Amino acid sequence: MEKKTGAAGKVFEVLWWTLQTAVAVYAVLFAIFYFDLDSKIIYRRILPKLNAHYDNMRHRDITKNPYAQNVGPAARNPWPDPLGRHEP
Amino acid sequence: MRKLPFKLPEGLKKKAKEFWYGKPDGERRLGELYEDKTGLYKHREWRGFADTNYAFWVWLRAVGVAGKLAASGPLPVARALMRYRWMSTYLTGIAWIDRGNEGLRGEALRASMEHFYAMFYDSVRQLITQFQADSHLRFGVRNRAWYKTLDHDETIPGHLFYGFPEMKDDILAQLTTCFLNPHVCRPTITHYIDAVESIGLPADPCPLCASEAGLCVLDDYPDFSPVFLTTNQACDGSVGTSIIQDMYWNKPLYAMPQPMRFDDPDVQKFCIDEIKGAWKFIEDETGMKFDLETFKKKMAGYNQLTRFEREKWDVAANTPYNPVSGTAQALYRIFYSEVGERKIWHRTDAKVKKLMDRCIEKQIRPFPMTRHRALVWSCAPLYYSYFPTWLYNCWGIQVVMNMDSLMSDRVVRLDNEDDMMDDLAHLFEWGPMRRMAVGGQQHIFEIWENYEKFHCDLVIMFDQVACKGMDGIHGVFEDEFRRRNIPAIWVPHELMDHRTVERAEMRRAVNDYMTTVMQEEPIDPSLVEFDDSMGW
Repeated sequence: MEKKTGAAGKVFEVLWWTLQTAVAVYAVLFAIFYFDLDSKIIYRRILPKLNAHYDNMRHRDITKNPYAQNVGPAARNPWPDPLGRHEP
Repeated sequence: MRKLPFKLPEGLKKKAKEFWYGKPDGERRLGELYEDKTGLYKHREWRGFADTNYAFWVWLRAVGVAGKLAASGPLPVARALMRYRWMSTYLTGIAWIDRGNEGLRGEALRASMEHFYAMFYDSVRQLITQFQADSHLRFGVRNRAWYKTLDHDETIPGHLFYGFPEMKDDILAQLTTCFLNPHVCRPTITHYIDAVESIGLPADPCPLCASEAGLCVLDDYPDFSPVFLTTNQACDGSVGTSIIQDMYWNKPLYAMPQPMRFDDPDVQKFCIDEIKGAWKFIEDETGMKFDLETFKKKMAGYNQLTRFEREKWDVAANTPYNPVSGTAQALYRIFYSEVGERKIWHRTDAKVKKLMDRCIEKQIRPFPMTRHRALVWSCAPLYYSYFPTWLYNCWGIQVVMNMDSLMSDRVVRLDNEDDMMDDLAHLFEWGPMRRMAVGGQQHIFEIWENYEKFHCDLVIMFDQVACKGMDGIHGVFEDEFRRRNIPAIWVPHELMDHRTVERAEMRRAVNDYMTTVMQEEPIDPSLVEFDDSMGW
């Protein structure tokens, strides 16, 4: 078959390339979707690692917070009680 | 249609038909798609060419929305994933959309999936807003967004804060961090329940309140606002949570107590004063001014959502043409009524209206396997929110309406301020759980009129074992079911904590009733018994 040249040929080439790429992307994404690969990777690989990370985290002990309004790191609190209640 | 010049072998013909239309109703054997224990799919369901590609299209859109979250600020989002345990839940969000829409086809699939997509989309919007202002992700630095974002309890509806044009956004503190967790990935929330029990909370209070408090104990709430507004909605359990939250936040807090017995006209003024007090608190503490016109404009949009909701109920009650599944109906309703006016709800409603009109016009029955029309009553299990999907696929029980959806049903009059405030107070008092479950016996007994109104022939009665209010009235319900000769299936659960009542146990309650009392055969035998004990 004689190869088309000129502007029409270029357009055809670009369209053909776009179509091929679109089909390939569709096939790969559809395979991930259909075989539920996203969930399988998250369940078996990602979440166990994340959970191990969370299990080893240190947490601030909030029971050490005094129970009163606007008490604590007062210097960082730009919102003093307008009625002056429970001031430390 | 022109006939083929040769005869296709019977097996091939069937395969070709299944490829194009999917397996016919009653032959799907959805349980065979699951891997044992994890509940992951061996492969996703083939629903026919068009429907599978539609589900794929929604999957692509959801992946795109997740990409939008990552692109909104790669560093804060990555830091959030490492900082907050609940954030890992959202990795499994797309699987949640699948589970909620199993077995659906055609208009039912489209309408229900659109609801799920809208919730997914708005959850991501909330995450983006939180992370853009979160000082925890910026080494304690409070940026401009921090000062212009409002943090309030998830049971204070978002529509109360429409009137602040300077406000960047308002966020329901526990919606994305806590409430959605068991819906999407149930094991996450148990860490928070255990955390609050580790500092002395007994194991029997409502696990929703317990887990909200547990987030404080593990220091896992984002810090994105200068103030916090809390309430006793839905029940007294929230009061206990508010105390822990007040201690944890250590910032100006406004509590909005709501009357338990809201029928008394004297309590309306109290409720209106509380709403006005909240607006004044925001003005005083943040410097943002309340603007009535802005409020009315947004409220008019919210009223539109309520009107369409009623239209959906009307179709569900009086025809078999409602394309929205019981699962999508319940989740979407509670989600948007709490979050308040957003464009995504209007877009979704417009699409669903088109589908609904088409079903009515062409008399399409979106749920053709329906054997029973069920009303679901009492608090629903959050770790098995797609239970109605299973009910339909396994036994043909179509959930027509549920208790939570019937709350917050008030169109707010906007022509004068007195009526507007009165309606707003009612809307707040009629919030999720409060209107019926905690609103007194005459309200929890609205079940009887709704049973008639929605033309039901079965009740699925959720038995939230940690809800003291509903436990207290259990026996009265049993007597009434017997007296009125209404078939009712009691399904136990513990709201957020799947360890107390497993999903398999909930299914067993239905299986036993359907085989012994109703003497029926399942539509899909592969769904009767399966092990998903290690699943999301």
